[in-house]
Amino acid sequence: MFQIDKRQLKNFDVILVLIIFLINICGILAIYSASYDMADGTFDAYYKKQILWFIIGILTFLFFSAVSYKRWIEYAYVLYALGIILLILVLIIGHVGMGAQRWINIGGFRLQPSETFKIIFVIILAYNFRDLSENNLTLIDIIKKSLILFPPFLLIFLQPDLGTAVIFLAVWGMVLLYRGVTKWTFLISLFTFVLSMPVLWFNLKEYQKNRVLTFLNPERDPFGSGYHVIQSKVAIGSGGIFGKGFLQGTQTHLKFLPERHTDFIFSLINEEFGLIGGSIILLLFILLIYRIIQNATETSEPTAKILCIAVASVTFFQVFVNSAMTVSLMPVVGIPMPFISYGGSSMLTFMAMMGLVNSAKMRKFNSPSEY
Amino acid sequence: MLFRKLEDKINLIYNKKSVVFFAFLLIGFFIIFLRLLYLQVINYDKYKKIADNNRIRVVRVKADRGFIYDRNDNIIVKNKPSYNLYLVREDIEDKNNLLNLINQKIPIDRELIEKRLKKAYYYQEVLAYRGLTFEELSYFSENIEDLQGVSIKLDPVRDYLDSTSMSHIIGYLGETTEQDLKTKPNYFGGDLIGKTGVEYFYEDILKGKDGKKFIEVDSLGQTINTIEFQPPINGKSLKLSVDYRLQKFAQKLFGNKRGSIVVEDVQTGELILLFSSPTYDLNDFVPYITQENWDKLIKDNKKPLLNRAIESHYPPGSIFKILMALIGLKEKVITPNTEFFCNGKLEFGNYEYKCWKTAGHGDVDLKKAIAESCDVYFYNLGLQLGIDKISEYAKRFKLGEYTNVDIPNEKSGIFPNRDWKKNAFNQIWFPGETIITSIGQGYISVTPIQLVNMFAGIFNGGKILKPHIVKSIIDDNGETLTKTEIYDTITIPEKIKKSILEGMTEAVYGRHGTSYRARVESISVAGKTGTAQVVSLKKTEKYDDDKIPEKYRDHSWFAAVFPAQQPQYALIAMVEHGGSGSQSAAALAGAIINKMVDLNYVSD
Repeated sequence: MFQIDKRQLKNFDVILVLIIFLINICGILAIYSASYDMADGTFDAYYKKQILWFIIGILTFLFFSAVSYKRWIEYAYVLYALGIILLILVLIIGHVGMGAQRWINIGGFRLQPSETFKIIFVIILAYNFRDLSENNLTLIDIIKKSLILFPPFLLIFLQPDLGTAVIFLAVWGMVLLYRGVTKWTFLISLFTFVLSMPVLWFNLKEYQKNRVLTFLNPERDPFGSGYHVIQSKVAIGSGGIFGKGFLQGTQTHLKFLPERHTDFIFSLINEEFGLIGGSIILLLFILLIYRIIQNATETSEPTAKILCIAVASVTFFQVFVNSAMTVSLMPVVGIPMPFISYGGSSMLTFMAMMGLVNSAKMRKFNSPSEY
Repeated sequence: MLFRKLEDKINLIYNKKSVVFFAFLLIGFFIIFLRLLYLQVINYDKYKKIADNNRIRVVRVKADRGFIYDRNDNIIVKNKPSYNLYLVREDIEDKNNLLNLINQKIPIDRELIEKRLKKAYYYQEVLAYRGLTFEELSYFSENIEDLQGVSIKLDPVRDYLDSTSMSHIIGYLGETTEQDLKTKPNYFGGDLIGKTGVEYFYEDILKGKDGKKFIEVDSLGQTINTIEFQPPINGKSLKLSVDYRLQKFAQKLFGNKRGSIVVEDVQTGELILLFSSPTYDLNDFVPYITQENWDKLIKDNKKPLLNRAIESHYPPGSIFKILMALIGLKEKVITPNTEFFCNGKLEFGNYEYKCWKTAGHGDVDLKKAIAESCDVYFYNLGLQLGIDKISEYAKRFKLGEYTNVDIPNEKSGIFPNRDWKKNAFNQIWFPGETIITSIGQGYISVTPIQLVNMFAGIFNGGKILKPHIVKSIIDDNGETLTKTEIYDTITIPEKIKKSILEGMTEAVYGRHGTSYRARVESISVAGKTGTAQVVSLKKTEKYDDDKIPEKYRDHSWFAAVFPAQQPQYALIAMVEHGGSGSQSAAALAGAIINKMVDLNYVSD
């Protein structure tokens, strides 16, 4: 399992690791700032815990790099079944927090199965879409490919965590398009999808619309998501081009902005470091995703290709949804920004996925026949 | 070689695809970047200004609390304006100084205010004082510039048509407690919330849903712009099934006496009248109750806050004989013609169980037994039925059980059976206890509402109803009637009902009837008296009610159903320490029934 080939060490993706390091340092700095209480000059322990999670994350990355990604893909369906069982368990015995049932308490540790499932999801996608042939997928093929999507989608939807469920749907869709669908299938699907949205929405009654809006954002504080968004916009807008300076963000430090160390950390970065800071974060993620896609092109092995594309998609959608929410382009949903938002589950999930990408890169010399 | 070819093909197609894929993701990032540019460069001045002054505030817009009507659409409870003093923590410069200044004019609870300030979210208006007088209002309005952080706002309070006759039904409002705040996320410190009565029971319906406003304010805290407004949804109104005129009348009848009276529609379970005496003044709670008034209320040994119709339980005395008669007939242990001989006592074991009439009633059939309330007849019947049968029926009729009427704090009372005795005393049930249970004494303890509901059940053909006091809920879309809920159905043949009614009618109109005080001129009434012993005085001992201290006098019960031909209403009157049932309670019941005739509830 751990037999190391010299070629593997040579291919170890140093650039990928470097980018991850940079993003994490930005995250820790931002959380350090978010921990600061301007009113009484004290610090919460969030940043210390985040550093600890980062260290555990590095170990996770190394572990997933050392193990051949093919081992996971061999057992894709076993992992998938285990993941589904966990998602069912969370609905039955899950810990209820902020109006949703998302965690299972295991001896004081809180496992969030929908996070763990992201890792399993990219693995099962790699397995399921490994048939990279010339023929594009027809509608029937797509339906067959969607069978692995619906169980986790529905179970997460029921928690209820629509935000995460939609991420799963979007990632599946991206991989599907990457694999290739026939032109007509694509057009018909797109047309039906776009057309059905407003029809569906305008047929809802007022209270149902409200319910959907609440559903989108179950952890509303007494004064709701509108408050978050307005305060977030003020924080970002008042940052200007250069920002107010480290630890100087008044909106965030005077506690106008809730959840400033988790879901709204991007607002804090933009307030204190301005457009420059915000752009640097976006740029780092672009580099990260570019590197992952580059790895996808370098390997000839189908599962590795799909695996990298899936990881790139998950990363992209989380960054996109989180930042779009803070700048008020999307409704508020509880999606953290990878490596930047405070939290252990998300850190370990993304470190594991990056580890998978590195594992694929290290073994890129394997030809398709060796699968 | 084959793989080589495939590999090349895949690399060719999918490297192209990767470029498209990456381009697509770049567009996503570019959208976010454009948005940042828009917020941070184009709108920088706007947001900078807002942030500098912290100018966005979120203000709650309270929903209006629903009204309460009686069954004839009289407005019993509405709202009136009250001026309250609020504080905004972020605007206060020197808290102690400010509180001192305010305290010079009005008595404030500093500890409570500081606690609320600490808990408040940013720019929340925290209630500091409720109910400013005109003079205080003027003072604060004039000096508002020196009192930075203070604002005065209108917050409605309750306005009652009659603040005493319906207090136990309506209930009062009070400020939220710590416990309320923990369990109810939409409430804040200082909010008013229903504490008793339908105000408590229907809190969620009456309250509605608060709205909110995002406002932009200037440096003095004055609103200059509303950014977003989410209007509140006002509370729904309640229409009670009780008749205000009857409540008022009952209050007059009771005077200083303690007790309660309840009238229920036997078909629907609607409560037409529910009065408990003494009552209290709801206006004492508007805008808030002073410590002094509260102490007075809770230390009053007449217990005015107690809703005696649902919270007090007593032995039902002879009223219970009606249920005994029903069980006897239903279980075919007796027929209406079955006779028992009464010589004034029943000897059982080595103990004598006496009849209230020392001389005895002679041969007694059912009609006579009910009309003259012969104890010996029911002793015999009870022995033949046994405690298991009796308690089984009592349970189905909800004696000693919650009726789940829609007013809070109902008590269950007790109806004993073998298991209960085992649990309570770790003893077996003795037959002698069955004997005294048969005449409604011993361990039995029931509430007036249980009894009135039992009578409704017997005379509506055996449907055990859930009594209710709210007839309908009213909102913009109209009225939603409270559905009649049936717990249980016991088939009661018309013949059985007739036999019992005959006995109860004889009790009111017969020569030896015990209930003659409830006679009403225009309609016929069927009734039954009851006496609940407060202290165990020997039944044979002659004593005069007027000569013993009031607190040792028996409780007086009276039950009635009317009109006797086809009962529409059941009534229970109870007067604490009112002496025997034939006296105070029966007279009260008679007066209420007369009033109901006047008000066209019933006619012959």
